[in-house]
Amino acid sequence: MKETRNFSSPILLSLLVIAVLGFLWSGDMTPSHWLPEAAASEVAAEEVATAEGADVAQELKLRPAPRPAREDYPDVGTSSRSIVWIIAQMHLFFGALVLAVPLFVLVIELLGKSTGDARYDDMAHEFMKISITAYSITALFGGTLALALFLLYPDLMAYLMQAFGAQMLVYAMLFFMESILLYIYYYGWDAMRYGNAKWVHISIGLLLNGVGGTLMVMANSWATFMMAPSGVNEVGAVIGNIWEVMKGPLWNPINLHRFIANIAFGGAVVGAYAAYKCLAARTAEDRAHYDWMGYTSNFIAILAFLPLPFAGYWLMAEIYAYSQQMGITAMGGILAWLFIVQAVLIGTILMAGNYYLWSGMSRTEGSKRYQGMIKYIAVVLVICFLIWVTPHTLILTSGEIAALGGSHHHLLGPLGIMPAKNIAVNLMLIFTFLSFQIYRRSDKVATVSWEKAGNALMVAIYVVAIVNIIFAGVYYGYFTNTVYKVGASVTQVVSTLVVIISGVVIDAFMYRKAKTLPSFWGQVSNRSQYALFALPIAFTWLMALMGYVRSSVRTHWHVYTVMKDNSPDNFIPTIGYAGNMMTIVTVMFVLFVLFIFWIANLSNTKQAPPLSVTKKAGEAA
Amino acid sequence: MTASGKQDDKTQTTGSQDGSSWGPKLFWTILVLMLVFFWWLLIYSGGVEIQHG
Amino acid sequence: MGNNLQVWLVAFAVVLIFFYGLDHLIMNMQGLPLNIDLTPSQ
Repeated sequence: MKETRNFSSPILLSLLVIAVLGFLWSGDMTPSHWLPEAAASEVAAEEVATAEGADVAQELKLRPAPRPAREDYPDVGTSSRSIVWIIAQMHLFFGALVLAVPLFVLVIELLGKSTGDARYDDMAHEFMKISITAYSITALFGGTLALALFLLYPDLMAYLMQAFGAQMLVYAMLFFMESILLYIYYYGWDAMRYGNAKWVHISIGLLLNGVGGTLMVMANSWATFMMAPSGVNEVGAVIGNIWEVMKGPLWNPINLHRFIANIAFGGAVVGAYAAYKCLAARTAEDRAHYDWMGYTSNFIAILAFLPLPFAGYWLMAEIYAYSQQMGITAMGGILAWLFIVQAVLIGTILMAGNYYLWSGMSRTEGSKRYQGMIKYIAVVLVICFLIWVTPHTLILTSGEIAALGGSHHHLLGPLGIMPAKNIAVNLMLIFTFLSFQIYRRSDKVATVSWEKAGNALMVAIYVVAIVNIIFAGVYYGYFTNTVYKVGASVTQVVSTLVVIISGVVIDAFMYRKAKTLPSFWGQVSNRSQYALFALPIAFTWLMALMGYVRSSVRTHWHVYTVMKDNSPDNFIPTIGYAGNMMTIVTVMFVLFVLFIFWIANLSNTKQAPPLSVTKKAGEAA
Repeated sequence: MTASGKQDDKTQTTGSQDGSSWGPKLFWTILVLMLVFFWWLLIYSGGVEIQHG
Repeated sequence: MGNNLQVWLVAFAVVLIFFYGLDHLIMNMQGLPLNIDLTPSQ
């Protein structure tokens, strides 16, 4: 099917960004500071000053971070921060989507190649269709973001250019590679369908993901530099090479967290597409196809979601290690309540994901033997969710504090600190995996001789892991010192991972040559499809929430401890205001995504020719 | 019988018919190179030591 | 029946020992050694 494509928007925007960057960079910037050999240093400057005269020393002089006054910030009549907030968050949403989709599309394509099942290949192709429109929108928001940043925060951007230099140009040029590879990957799908050509296609997909990943980590370095600057001295003068500037303590934690989170988010968004198509399907065949697609998307989303809290925990641990003040601002101070909101959203995600799996069990008769477990899993999930949601310090009037006898509830207060949260989240992940495991087992009957022993082992692993997690959380969390408390959280994580990995391995062996029971794609309630709508909305809102935390944890600094924020917006807004902003971007994202789904549908639509045309064609024949 | 209109050349298959399977080798090579690249970018990173603040 | 019970007992015993060892290993790796009864030894 021929689709004409407007190639111009991402390319033009890339050119514009390159032009702006090039102009700013070539202006007053000395490029020498980013060359490893010529790293400017105070010693070098002094040596040169004595050896060759003052003007050369001037050139190598360390340039501290700018200190703009309030009036130096351009005033466009509305809060600059809100403008950048919205545009940046939209860019991140779409960036996450277009990086994630090619990742799991590649895996699905490989699966299709190895199984020889054309359905996988068709599904992968269909997922890419969504990604292509999203890519244009990503580029549009990216270009707009660059313009907004340079317009509204020129001093900050000049400083970041000083620190990162040509790395930003590399970023812009990588977009050419990304565009080229993306268009070949998508439009060459049918031309490179079989044999060695298919492997070429897959390799192009691999390169596409490589370039995408590189783009992400490069952009991540700007954000992490602003939070935890490296390669600069205490006044912000660049004293290290580009690697020292890029590789701060938060870079890899954010790289890992965003990499995994993108996959989860991407899975959720395409799941919504599948749910919409499933509900709108007119034939049983279409309904079955999109039901299967929805299941695959949910699988990807939940699978990527399970390790995500651990990546987030690593990020938080590194923030604390870098700056205790920043860590406490995030989780013990002014932003702490946002983590309660986070708990609500993650609880929503897990409930929706589990509900979808339970509903999916109606696809097969064999699920009846497991359906009795669902209510117990639900009870555990709800209790854990309530524990996770319980705050520590309550917002109270002085009268309420007096009545309560303190700012914490004496019974529920202990549930508000990390040990309780860690127990809750690990148990929620284990029970989500359990839902997944019984779903997978529903349409199979094991034929191996050691089935009883295998099941006994599996049950033992679940029970002992759960006991271990509770023990580690309660004992080390409340009855030992802080160091052991924090260290015990690692045993909890590992216990969860043992359950997941052993579950996958035991089932893989136990269900070899299993008898399969009939299972019918499409034979699922419509309610379950609505769970697939809830997932990306919760994910999107969660991304906006956590992005806000990550950004505002810098408090009144553009670049933490190095370049102060002197703009009219240098304050942390109320939670209500922040919540409204997050809702605005979430609604905007949903609207754009609906547009993307509509475009995907539109490209498949052929208008029926009017009678006069068919009549003429009939006469000519 | 073809109807009036363009001849569709797109059905021409690409790829080798003679059974040589260099395709997987290409894929694995690129995968390994990519992993090495990411190791260089993220782990080695010019040999810098992270200052944990 | 007896055979069934034995299977379960062995399964639980093996897994308990595994997790007990895991706790010691992970806490030791972080420089937080434990006593035999899993109490902190520091």
